[in-house]
Amino acid sequence: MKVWYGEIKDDEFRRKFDLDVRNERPLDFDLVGFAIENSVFSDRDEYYETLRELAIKNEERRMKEILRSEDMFIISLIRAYDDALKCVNLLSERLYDIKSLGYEDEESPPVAWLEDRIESLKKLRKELEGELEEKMLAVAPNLTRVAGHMIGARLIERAGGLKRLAMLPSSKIQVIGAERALYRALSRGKRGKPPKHGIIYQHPLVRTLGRRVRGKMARYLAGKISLAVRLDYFSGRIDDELEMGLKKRFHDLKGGSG
Amino acid sequence: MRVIETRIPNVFILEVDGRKFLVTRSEYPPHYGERKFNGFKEWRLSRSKLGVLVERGIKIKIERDWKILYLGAASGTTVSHLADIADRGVIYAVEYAPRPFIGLLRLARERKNVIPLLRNAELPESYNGIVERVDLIYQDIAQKNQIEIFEENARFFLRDGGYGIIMVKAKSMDSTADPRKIYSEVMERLENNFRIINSVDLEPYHKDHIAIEVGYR
Repeated sequence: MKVWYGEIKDDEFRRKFDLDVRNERPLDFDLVGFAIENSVFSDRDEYYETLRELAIKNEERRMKEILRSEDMFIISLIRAYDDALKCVNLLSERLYDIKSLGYEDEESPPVAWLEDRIESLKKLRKELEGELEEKMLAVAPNLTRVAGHMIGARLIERAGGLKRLAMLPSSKIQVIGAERALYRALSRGKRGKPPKHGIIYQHPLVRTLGRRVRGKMARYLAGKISLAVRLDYFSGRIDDELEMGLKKRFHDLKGGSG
Repeated sequence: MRVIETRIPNVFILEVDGRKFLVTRSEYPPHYGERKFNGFKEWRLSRSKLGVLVERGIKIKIERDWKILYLGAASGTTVSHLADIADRGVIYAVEYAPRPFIGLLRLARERKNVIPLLRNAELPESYNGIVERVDLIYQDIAQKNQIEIFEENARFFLRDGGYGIIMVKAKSMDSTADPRKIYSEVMERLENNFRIINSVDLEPYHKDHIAIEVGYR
């Protein structure tokens, strides 16, 4: 068993300071008393002072690690995911061409090679997505709950980081990914129709609605995303209320559009 | 200036120019923009749910030498007052989000009785071996599974007969249901492992929030 001031194995105790502990079951002894009995510390004051100093140092290091690279890492992950997807599509297309010429894998090694690599690229994509979901939950838990990890990551990528996304107005978030449509509408002045949604169209609560209410839902979702990102960036607290408001709005709109 | 004692050590009500302030006795500088009146720290009720509970709770108890596990410490607003109260005790302050943790670290550097832990309260095994058995678990995390998290942490760290304070936000459990219904469901669930001591509505400072006080077994 590992505790922060040492290891206990078969009734033997070895002193070693390390805050990276993991014990699946509640301890059945007094953590502080045991340390003093084994003269790791001379008294309680020394015990707490040592633990506090160690905790400040250790947790600060871990905090900085998380803060330093978090959103840039997410951007790289989503790009790698898209690259993998693109490769799968390109190679699948080529494989289809070869097969339609009449070659099968028994007679043509390249067919087997391609099939093999496409499979492993598909696996890579899955793995990247898994990692992305985990990172998104750690870095932007509210955004992930509201938008999902894929859409959330795309928004961070398009905005150029979590901070920049947090600074955007929700009207901009609503049309991220539909810039062409937006500028076309703007250049037409009063005759132009601005787009209802960009990336967030992929959100199941937007996509599955009828066209007439989709814009309403997109606007509402963009508002919630904006709140979520700001919570993630400035406070870090998780608020389950955001996600639940979303479902309610969806059902209201769905009922209304009949 | 008039100083009125309360039932809780190091907590007072201050009368300054006819206005009343809830305060903790503190030799430390302000942590979150609250006022200082020589030797006392204003406890802003709109910023700290525990402040409202202390002002209204008729049963709440905190002792100077208590060991406390604080789940959802955020940037340390409430922790700063708890650290004033339990000035001879220890507070294990758990917060998982890195950004508010910056503020918590700042507080821990200042206070000898605050141990900051950047850990996920959903995984008590990851700090089992750092945190000892405590007298009080205080929880303020607006998450749907917060009761489950509280139960798990109590199993790992709350001593027999220990005391728990849980801040429940109705909207985080279910945004459409009637808050009173949610509260009674939460209490019913808590009764499986705890004895309900009291519950206090935190309106108007914190809308749709209640504080629940429980005893362990």
